Amino acid sequence: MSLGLLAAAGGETFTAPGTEDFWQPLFGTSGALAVTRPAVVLVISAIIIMVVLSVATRRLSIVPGKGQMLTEATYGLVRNSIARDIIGSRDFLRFVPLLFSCFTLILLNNLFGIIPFFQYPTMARIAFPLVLALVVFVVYHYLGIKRRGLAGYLGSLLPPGLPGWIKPLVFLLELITYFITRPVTLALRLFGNMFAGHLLLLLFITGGEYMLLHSGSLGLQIFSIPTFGMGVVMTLFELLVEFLQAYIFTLLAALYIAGSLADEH
Amino acid sequence: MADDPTPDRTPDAEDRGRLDESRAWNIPSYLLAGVLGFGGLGWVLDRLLGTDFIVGIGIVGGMALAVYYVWFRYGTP
Repeated sequence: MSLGLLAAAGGETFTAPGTEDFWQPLFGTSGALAVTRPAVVLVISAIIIMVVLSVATRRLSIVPGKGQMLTEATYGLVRNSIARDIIGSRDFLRFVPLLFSCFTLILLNNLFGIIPFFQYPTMARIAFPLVLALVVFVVYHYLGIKRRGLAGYLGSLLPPGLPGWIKPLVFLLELITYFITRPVTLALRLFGNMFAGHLLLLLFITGGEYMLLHSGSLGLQIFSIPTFGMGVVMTLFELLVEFLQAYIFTLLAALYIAGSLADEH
Repeated sequence: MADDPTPDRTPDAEDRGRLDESRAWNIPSYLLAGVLGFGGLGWVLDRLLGTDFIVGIGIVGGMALAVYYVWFRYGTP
């Protein structure tokens, strides 16, 4: 008995989730511009972050409550473990706002992938991580050029001590790394993880739902139980990935900024 | 911290460790840049000259260059 036969017996066929499931315009769809679900989710996330942070920091107490503890732990992670340790204690403070905004925005939007009703990881649409990566791209190049001038900045890409004949090749390699692979990988890493993870969740859950309700076969109905089980397991796994991706994005942003500020290459 | 009269300008050993560890994240960027950048350059040259072997040289050479460079920057004391 093949799966196709079983599906045919149920009268309905299962359509696997795909990229089209991520295009969810809400209104204004007549033209090329539309207000989409991720755009709304992003705005909601920004409002939530603003409200939570201003409420949590309004009445600070020596003995922190739960909300204050969580806020302080998140802030401490970005400020100390990412910004200070990587950028160094001399310059890190003025980059904490940028890094903290990046981290909280990405983290909350990623978490929305598995929070009921939102259930859409904003970063699964390439434009959102791309813009964030562009912000980081502009910041670290601006810092480097401001510090050394354009020629000095480009010259600083080459570390001292290289054999002469290889210098032009390495310079090209560094140019490609600084101007293309860094921003592209920064955006694609976040996008790819969120997109693939959410697609996997969609597959397990819509697949399980189809097997249970629409297949009309006892065998598939039984098999829907492990399918839903995998959906739960992957949801927990996504929780880890969502946190990790927000952390890595912020870590790399700090690392690139540190690279532009460093004395030696 | 910014108003600290004697700011500590030398990161301590633990900070150094974390910084070095984080720098490992740069390595994939270089490897990708080598393969894609020089492979792409070879492909463009192939298109211009009507040949078909430069893209291969670009990919392999770019990989070799990137590996050498990663060794040079992060592998030597």
